[in-house]
Amino acid sequence: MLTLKRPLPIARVALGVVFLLRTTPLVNVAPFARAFPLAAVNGPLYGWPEPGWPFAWDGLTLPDGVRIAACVVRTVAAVLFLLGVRARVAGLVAGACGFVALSQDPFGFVFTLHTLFLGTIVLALTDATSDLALVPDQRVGAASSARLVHLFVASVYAWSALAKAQPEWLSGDTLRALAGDGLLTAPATSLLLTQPALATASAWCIFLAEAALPALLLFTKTRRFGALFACILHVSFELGARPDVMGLVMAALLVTFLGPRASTGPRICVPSAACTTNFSAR
Amino acid sequence: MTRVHHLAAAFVVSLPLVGALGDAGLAFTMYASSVSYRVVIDGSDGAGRRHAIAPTLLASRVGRSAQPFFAGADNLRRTYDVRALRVRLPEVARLACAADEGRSAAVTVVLEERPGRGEPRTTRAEITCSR
Repeated sequence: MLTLKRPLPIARVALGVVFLLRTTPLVNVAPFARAFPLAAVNGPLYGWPEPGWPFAWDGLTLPDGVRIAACVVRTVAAVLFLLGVRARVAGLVAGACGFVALSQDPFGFVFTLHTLFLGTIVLALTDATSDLALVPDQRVGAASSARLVHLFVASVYAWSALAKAQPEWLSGDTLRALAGDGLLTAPATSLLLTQPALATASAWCIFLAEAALPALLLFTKTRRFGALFACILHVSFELGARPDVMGLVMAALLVTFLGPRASTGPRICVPSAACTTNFSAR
Repeated sequence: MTRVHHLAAAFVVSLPLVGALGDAGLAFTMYASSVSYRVVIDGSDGAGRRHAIAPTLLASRVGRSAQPFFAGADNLRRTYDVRALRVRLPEVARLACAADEGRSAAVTVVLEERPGRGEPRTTRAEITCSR
């Protein structure tokens, strides 16, 4: 299977591209608009103030000037994160400003943006900013960096599976409702509405896949297979639902699982020696 | 893992749990359940006379992303997460005061939820309109 020498910086570049695509009007341009019909940016940048009654998390409504400044700073920071110019600070700023925009639009909350901004912050804290960078940051530890990103990605699947461990999802009712509301692609809608058993089977398959992924991704021996399996799952989501740019966000993060086979598990410590981490590069 | 990475891991892994309890909806629920809901808004004047305020009236006064939550919401309609509306009913009531253009001295907003599975839930907010 494909092995990347520097998976973390590659993931940073990939996520940086997705970040800029999803938070600028680039996503409204024809080929992207067709590919990601649920991802649209209103105004010059995502989060730009719109007229209307203000709602915000915990009622903390920010003045328009602050929101506009956060949009501009976020976009500049995202460019620096992509190019690798002090990408650690840039990624933290871009992710934080992304959450500022999310906080000012609680009715427009989508999990894709939440994952995108949080993933950017997570990558910024790792060695992803130390390679493929115009102004690289200091390294903080390869194994530790990989472990952090892997835990984050595994947790996304774990929480998602947990949310699906309930009768409405497992009966296929939610999938049928999504199909009935026109939120799935035409072929998926047609299949799920005409064959109810298929909706139930699909719901169980998605739940079991997401429940299995955390273990597959966190064990060194299965993590590459886990990453491949996750990609196949996202391709099926794209065929069935086109959930914003979630597939691209997760694909960028899944790149981090394609590094040389190094244990990212607990370090082995013995009283008389320094802690060691087992690397067995292929 | 380094100490910073331990802290970051604890934060990102547990954030959805905190989000599930708070009002931001940060849990990765990924639209796993549906809910039918209806919004009933009542205004009452100084003499206690009550009148209905259509949620659709509010839809024209909110941002683009909030409009689908209000337009036609006096009839049962289905969505996949109504938390954003539930936790903001007092703000919705204030908006209804403004939209009603001084006719109401007080406004009551009731959100009726019928989950795909599970018990119906009713949430209510009542405020006095400032004149």
